[in-house]
Amino acid sequence: MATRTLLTTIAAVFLLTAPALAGEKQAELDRLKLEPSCPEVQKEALAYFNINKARVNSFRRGASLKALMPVVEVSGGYVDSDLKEDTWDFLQTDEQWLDKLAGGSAWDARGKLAWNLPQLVFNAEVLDVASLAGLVQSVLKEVTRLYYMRRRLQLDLILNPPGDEATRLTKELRLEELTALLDAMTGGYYQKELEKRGLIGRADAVKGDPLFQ
Amino acid sequence: MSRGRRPIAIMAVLLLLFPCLTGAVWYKENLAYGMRDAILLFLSFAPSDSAALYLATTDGYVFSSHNQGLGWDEARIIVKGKSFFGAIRPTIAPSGAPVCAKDVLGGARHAPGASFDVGDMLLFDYGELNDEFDPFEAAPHQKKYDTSKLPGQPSPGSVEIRDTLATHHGGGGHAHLGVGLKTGAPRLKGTLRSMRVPSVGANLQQVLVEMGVEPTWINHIAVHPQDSYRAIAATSMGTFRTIDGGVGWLPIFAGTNRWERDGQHVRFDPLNPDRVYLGTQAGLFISPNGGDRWERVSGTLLESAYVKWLEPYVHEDGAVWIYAGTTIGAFLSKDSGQTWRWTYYETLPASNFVSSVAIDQQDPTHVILSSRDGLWVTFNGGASWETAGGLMFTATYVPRVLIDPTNGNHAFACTERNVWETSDGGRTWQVIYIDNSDWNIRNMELDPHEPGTLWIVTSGQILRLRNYRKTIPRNSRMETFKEAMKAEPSETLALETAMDNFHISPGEQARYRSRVAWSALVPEVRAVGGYMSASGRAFLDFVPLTNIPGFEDSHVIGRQRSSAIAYGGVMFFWDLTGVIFEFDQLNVGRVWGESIGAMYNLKFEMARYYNERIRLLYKLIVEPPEAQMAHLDAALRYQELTEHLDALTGGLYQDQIEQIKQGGATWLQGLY
Repeated sequence: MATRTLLTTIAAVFLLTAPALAGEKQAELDRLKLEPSCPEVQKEALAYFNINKARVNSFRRGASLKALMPVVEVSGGYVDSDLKEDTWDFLQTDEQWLDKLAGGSAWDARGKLAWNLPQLVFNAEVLDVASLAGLVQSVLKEVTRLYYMRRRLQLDLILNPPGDEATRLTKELRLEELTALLDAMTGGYYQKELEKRGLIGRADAVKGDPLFQ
Repeated sequence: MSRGRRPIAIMAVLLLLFPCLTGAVWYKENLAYGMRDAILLFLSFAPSDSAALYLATTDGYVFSSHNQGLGWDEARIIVKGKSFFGAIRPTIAPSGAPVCAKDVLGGARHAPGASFDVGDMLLFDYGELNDEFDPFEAAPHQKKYDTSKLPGQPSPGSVEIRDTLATHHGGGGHAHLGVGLKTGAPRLKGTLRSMRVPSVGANLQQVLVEMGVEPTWINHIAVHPQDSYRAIAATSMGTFRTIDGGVGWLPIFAGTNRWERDGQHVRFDPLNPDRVYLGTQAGLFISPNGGDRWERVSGTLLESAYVKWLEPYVHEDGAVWIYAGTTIGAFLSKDSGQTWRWTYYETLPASNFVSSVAIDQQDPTHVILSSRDGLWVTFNGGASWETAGGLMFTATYVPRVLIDPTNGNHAFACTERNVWETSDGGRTWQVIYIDNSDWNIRNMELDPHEPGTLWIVTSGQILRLRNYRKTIPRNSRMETFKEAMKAEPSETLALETAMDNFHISPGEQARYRSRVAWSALVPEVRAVGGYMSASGRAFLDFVPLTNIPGFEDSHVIGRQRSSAIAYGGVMFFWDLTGVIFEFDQLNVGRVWGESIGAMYNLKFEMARYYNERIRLLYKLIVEPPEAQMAHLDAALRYQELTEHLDALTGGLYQDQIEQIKQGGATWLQGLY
């Protein structure tokens, strides 16, 4: 509670120092607030890359409990063989005098289960999961930076509208690029969410421009 | 006092006074926060706007700031891809593709049960085929295609395509998009595969960073003297121009070969900004119309020289002088680059490799050059040169020298690890900054808008050195800031929470590792069961050889046997050697290395964000920027850092985020 009060005081200080804005610009700025927030985008990006906290925890849990399941081996075989052997004595009788015939068949089935129970106590794969930390950091860093680069550009377009056409187009293209990158990082969530909230075109501060309609 | 001791006493007094005489107390702060981990190279100021800065890197990134380095936007200079085996080398590069067929095929040579060699696949020895039926072998004892008998002919089996530029800083080696899957976590990948989860083991980080672009070394950026949103960048892949403050960059000069394309230094004419000077690896070019058209300087050695530095100077008579530092000495033009004369040349190649030029603004006959062989100074307009600082910098690479525009005797020079200062025009030098970081000093600039401030760029830092301490205001806002700090999590807490969030704290890992010895006491269990059935038969039919009565006729003997068996068993295995020692308990090896790496990265990142956020908090409360855009930039960056830190710590900054989200965050609402 004390923290909240204090932060509100700080906020009041900021507010008092903040210059006021013209109505139409303020309206455009207010529209930006309807866009997905940065924490929402971060969450979606991590989920898209399959490295959100729940998933990583489930990897870790899976690695620590996997030894409960056995390694199963089933094997078997069948064999059937016959042997025939004939012997002649050409010197004395010139006739076949000995025939041997032997044969048989066999089959077997085996099953083997192996539990690596020591892995219940320690499994290096649990530590392996920590390797994902770098990936999570990278994705968070990328998506946060893209989000705020885009936001800064939006604010720049609203508060300092470019005077010449070339600059305006370049900045708008850059905005499109950043939107597309965020969309790619979130598996299509960002664009869908903008559409769902009815912000496409307007939020990009390019209203009325046929290029982006 | 004896005579012998007097000089020592005088020296001691001088040493005590020395810092006061030279103003040698410098206060340092690092501003490279929150930007991508690129290798930084050069910082450029906008002459017309004290808040605008551009930062060049070796990785194609250009960072631009319009609030004096408080927040940075990034852009990347992109060159066109070439669709050949996924290569992303620009079309303008004359090299082959970054593919070597021999390396690719090499892997197949040692496949189990087979061998494969591309080197001799078309070499047929005589007799390899059957003599009688081989119509291809023209003459006995001769090979069909014998390279030893055909001098100069290549072996038809050697198939090799090499990227000849891969080792240059054009970046071919980094251009292998998606090549190089991370092999660091095979067990994890196995686990993921067994769980039917799409593998995330690919080197995603690299793909994210280098997706579809050519890493281009940006050597220098010049900002338009009157418009801070216009700048020109000289890069290894051509020269580019921005007209929107560094958001977008378009190519304006690609040269006719790779040496011309490799732009080293670019400058606007101080009196006529439409006139632009570009130094390349192969000559000096001048554009009369802001970069749309370029003309080569001719009739001088500069026509083909490797130009490293260009330094313009406006003479009191209105003429623009330009010094060009090259790898064959220095040249001077006194008529805006129309005619040139060789003004500095030494015997050693290292001395002739001029890395920068500084001109005394009060006396243009006083010039200092930095080179690969130290510093060189002239006090007579180049008629004679002497080493600056005696032998102090001999055989030392000095990337940059600067002369204070308000005092020609006051100059700075940087070597790769130190920054030096002189107060006598370059005769004697003192160290003012010793770089003990992991980074080398790349360059430095004097702040044109804030006298007494020196900016130093190292590979990973942007250091601002002031020779005065900023006064701390004592007012009620300072008290508010102090109170705010009490509610802030400490840096240690933030870092520990982040490490716990990622399960990479050394304590947690060590605790888990200690369990490995106990795991040896638990047996590995194997259960086996099976069933086997077998039957056999045998017959013997024979006629006795002897005529023993009763045995004359043939006999038949038969036998049959069958068997069935079911079996089962349980086995326990204890590998008790692990109780004494198990490798996994050591804090070494791949798993540990990965964790330590992740921990260091996180620690580094957290420290940067945490400290930048606190500085912003201070700025927003105590010294709020007056300009609306600057105020907004600061507030937005504060919000960005808060949300980033919250994500890294798994929710430690929820209170602050909640304040921003709700109306309670009125300070943001008030802004936008």
